[in-house]
Amino acid sequence: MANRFWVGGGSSSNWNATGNTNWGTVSNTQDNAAVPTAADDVFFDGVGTGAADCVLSTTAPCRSLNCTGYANTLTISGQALNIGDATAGAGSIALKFAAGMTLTKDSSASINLISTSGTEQTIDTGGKNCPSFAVTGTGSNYKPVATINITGGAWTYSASGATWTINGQTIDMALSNASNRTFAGGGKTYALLTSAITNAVLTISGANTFSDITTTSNTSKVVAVVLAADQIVTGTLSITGNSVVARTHIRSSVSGTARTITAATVTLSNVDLQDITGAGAGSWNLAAITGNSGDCGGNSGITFTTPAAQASTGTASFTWSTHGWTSRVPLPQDDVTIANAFVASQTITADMPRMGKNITFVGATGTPTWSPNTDVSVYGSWTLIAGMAIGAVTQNLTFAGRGSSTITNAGLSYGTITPVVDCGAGTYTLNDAILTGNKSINFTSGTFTANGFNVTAASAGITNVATVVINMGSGTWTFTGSGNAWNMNGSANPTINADTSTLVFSSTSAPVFLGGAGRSYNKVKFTGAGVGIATISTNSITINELEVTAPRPFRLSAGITLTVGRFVPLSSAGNIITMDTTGAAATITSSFYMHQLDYLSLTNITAAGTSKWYAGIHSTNVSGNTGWQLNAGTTAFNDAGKMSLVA
Amino acid sequence: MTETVQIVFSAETEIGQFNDALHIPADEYAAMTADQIAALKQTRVDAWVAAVKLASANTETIE
Repeated sequence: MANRFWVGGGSSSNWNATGNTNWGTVSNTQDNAAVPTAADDVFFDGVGTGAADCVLSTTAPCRSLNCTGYANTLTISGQALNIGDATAGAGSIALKFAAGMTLTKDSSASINLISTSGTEQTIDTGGKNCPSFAVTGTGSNYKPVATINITGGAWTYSASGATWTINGQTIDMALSNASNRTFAGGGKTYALLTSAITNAVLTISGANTFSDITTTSNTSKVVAVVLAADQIVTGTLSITGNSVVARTHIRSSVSGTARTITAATVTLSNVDLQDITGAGAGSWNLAAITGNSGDCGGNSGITFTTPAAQASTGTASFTWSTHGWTSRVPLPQDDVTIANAFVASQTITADMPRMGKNITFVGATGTPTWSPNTDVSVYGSWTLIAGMAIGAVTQNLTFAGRGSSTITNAGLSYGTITPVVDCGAGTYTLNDAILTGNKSINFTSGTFTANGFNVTAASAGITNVATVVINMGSGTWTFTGSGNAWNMNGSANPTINADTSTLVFSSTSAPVFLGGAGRSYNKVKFTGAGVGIATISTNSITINELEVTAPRPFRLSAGITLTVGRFVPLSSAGNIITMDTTGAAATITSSFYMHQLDYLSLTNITAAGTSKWYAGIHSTNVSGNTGWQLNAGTTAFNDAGKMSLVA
Repeated sequence: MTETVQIVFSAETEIGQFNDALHIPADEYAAMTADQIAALKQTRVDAWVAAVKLASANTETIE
């Protein structure tokens, strides 16, 4: 280990400049010392030639960084400064920025505290606005001695077997301009976490303990504090939404999975809560707080503002947040009725992310257009009417209600709006068919029951973060997009109840069916007039009846096994179906007594199961096929009266 | 609250079976003829077929 002083004189102002370097073995001495390693204590003392700017142009290691006396600019934009090795920094200082220096950073810069020394080391930010911090050193022992200001950055504590002494210091991680950030506390104890949130989302992960949490927000309607674990606040939990129409959304990171906040004092205003359990000595009676309290469902231990049905009025266009509703802009627990007698060509602009509970347009006349200008959620039933339109905007419409709710679409297409089912333990049941234009329908949590009606979208996105149950019913599920048109790859959790449904992939391009391992489907059809390759990419799915329409090529991912009740390739003379894999052989297996196929071109397809697989005399055995009925390697008829593959 | 009547219907089309429902305000429903209701159903069917055909020809790849 050695000392390294920033002394300037290098070939550039970069930290890692060589021939010459900017480093000296002692202060104010340009002796072309080597660029610091992880074993070196680094000093920016600003003495003599050391009064020079420095740019971190690459990831840089050091054992410690001490900027006492430095009054120039250190730029670490886009780079990582890795501080620490197995021994403590000089003077047990890990990091010390000087009050008189300038620290320039950007949103991708980071300071990583990676020491594995058990000796307590201090972190002194000198009041600077620092990059993201990550404390990762196993067995480390850090103590801040000044407020840690990481405006626009993230905090990550993931050091195992480590000691963290907050020493009463505040962590300030103000957020702005849609730069969503996470405070990953690692389950440690902190003093005040404060965040002035501007148009962004603050996520807190790790089951941490804080002395206080204080957040404020700007006039953005999308500010949220998201909890990925339970939190304890020994002092005051203070979350201040901006206004009744710029409300802070306090919610769990997973719909339907409650997070407990245990707080000694609770001071909230203009907030909506979702999947939050209020606990501790603080009062969770939020019924009459400033701006009222919104109940998005999944909460317990909290008294919310009493629901009040809201109806719109007038004949003209209006905007959700500024309209003169019955008594207030609807809270998530308020039923909403829009039954106005609109004059022609009027628009209802939905600018509140949480529009209300049961929302209905029944009774409205004049063919108004509902048009959200932000992603919106409904916390109950959603009832459209035929005599209205949906705006051509690109937003999400999330069905987030708990309990049992319905969706009535009235023959309207959602166009470029993406419907999302994310209702925790709730259930949404269709009252009629649902249709999107070129957008997906997504299933994030909760139960969706098609109730016998059709579902049509470009694709389906099904995640496994929370419990998802899809009751497909007896309708036709048509997905018109190419690529991952049914996307459940890697999803262990969702339950698919195929019922008697028909799943159709109709893109003329190349649809991919990622069905989710172990899932069963009823009828699956690859239709469409094009010749894009239809692909089944998931191992171990079962399809009761699989139909492929020629001339569409049909492909299985290499190595997978696909179980079918019946395989029905609709091929004919001059209209063959090429069936192959993405590489090695794949297996199609069936217990259906006999498959009598024809006009196929087969490569690397293993036919298996108790079914007898006849490819037909007009089929081509390209290579790598096994399990098909062959007659001694000839093209002669076989005993079943069917021609076998051309060997 | 305006009461509505739900009319569940199904139709076989060239691209598959279409299952849907009409929801008509009760007072309007009372005044409608069978032909008018059939026309509403057919409108839905035609719209669905057209929408599927149009979207299926869109080759935009889904991520």
